[in-house]
Amino acid sequence: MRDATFFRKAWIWALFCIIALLLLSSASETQRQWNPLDRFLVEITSPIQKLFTRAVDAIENFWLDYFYLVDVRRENKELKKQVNQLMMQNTRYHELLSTYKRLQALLNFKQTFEEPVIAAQVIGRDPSGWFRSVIIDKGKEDGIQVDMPVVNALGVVGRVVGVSAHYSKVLLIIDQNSSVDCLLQRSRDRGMVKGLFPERCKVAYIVKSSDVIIGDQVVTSGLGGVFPKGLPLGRVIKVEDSPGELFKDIDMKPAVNFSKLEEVLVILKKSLAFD
Amino acid sequence: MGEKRNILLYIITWIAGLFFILLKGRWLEGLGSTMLDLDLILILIAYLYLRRGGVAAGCFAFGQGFVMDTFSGGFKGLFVFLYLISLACIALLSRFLHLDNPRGQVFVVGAAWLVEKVLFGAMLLTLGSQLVLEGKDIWLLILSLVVSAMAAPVCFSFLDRLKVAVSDSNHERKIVLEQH
Repeated sequence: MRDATFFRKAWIWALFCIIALLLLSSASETQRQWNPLDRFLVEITSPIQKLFTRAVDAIENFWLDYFYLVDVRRENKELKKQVNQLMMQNTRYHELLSTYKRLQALLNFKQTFEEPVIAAQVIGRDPSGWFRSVIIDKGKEDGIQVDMPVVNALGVVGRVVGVSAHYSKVLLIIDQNSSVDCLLQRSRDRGMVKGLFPERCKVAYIVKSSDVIIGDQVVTSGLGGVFPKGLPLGRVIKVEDSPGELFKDIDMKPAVNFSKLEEVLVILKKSLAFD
Repeated sequence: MGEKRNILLYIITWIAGLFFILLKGRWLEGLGSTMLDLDLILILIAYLYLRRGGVAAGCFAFGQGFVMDTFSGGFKGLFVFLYLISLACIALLSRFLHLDNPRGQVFVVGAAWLVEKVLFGAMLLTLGSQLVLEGKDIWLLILSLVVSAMAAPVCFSFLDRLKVAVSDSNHERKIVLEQH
């Protein structure tokens, strides 16, 4: 029984092999075209193959894209880091350039003085929010004394009102407690620049007969013993003739931009105000 | 040990006040308006009055006012006077309003802020300065009043938590928490 089964299986295998050999022997170099059977088979299996291929492609693409995106993300991070570093460098260079320009202007301005001057940096601002003063990083040990004038390349900043060994307090000309004797450059009229909140000044005691127009340059008169003569204070921005008043109502925009005050020069000149 | 911790908290309050004064000018410049005035010193005075008593708060008000006078271009003693008056105002108001609860803190600090600013203006006028306020400044002052008053409970709570954090023993912690 067992031998009969064995022989049946052997016959089937032999038949398959013979068919295969026949097919192989019948195939020639010129007969590569599909026969009807082939075509039928292809028509049936191809949709399945197509579906399978697409699925594999999709998985492959997804897989590759994922890894690709991981790389892109990494690359993006690196590039962002580089951009940030370059931006920081750029900012630093801009800062250095603007510092250089400011210091150059300050140096040019310094050379116009006969008196010795000392450069100082603004390290603190008035905490009250109402008064206008700054703290600078030079003090008594650097030769600074009370009432010394403080200027920058644009004009008058203020005067020293407090000195410690290494630091000083400077009262700005825009403070309400500040007054500077002034001169209108064009008309040569004399007056007094007083601080007016916020970041404006009033030019007081200019008589009504004086010829003042908007845009007139206001400079220090040299009187009062604190500021040397001819330093720019600002420009007239408002002129009004109020009836019943003795003097003209004049507002001045200071030459110095006090919100951007970083470096100043202290003129080491002994005050004559109280001498 | 508890007293040492209290002293440590007192020192922290002093340092915070000092830092606030030293950085306030630059901070106000950065904001673009010097009229926006969150008065942390006033809040710290009120806090110290509540937790450490009148003497400690008085020393703090005097010291911080002195520092303020030193670094500002104002008259000597102006801020010492203003902060001491503010403390007196806080002491008076705390008799009627509970400084222990947030609502009381808001009202007391707000009222003290208002009194301080009104007195400040009055003193400026008395001492010969001009008081020039634009429409925008009034709104900024009102905003400052509201922010200072509303910040009081937040600061009180933060400092209380800090006090709990520096209290080492559980017993002490329990007492502090019960107090609050």
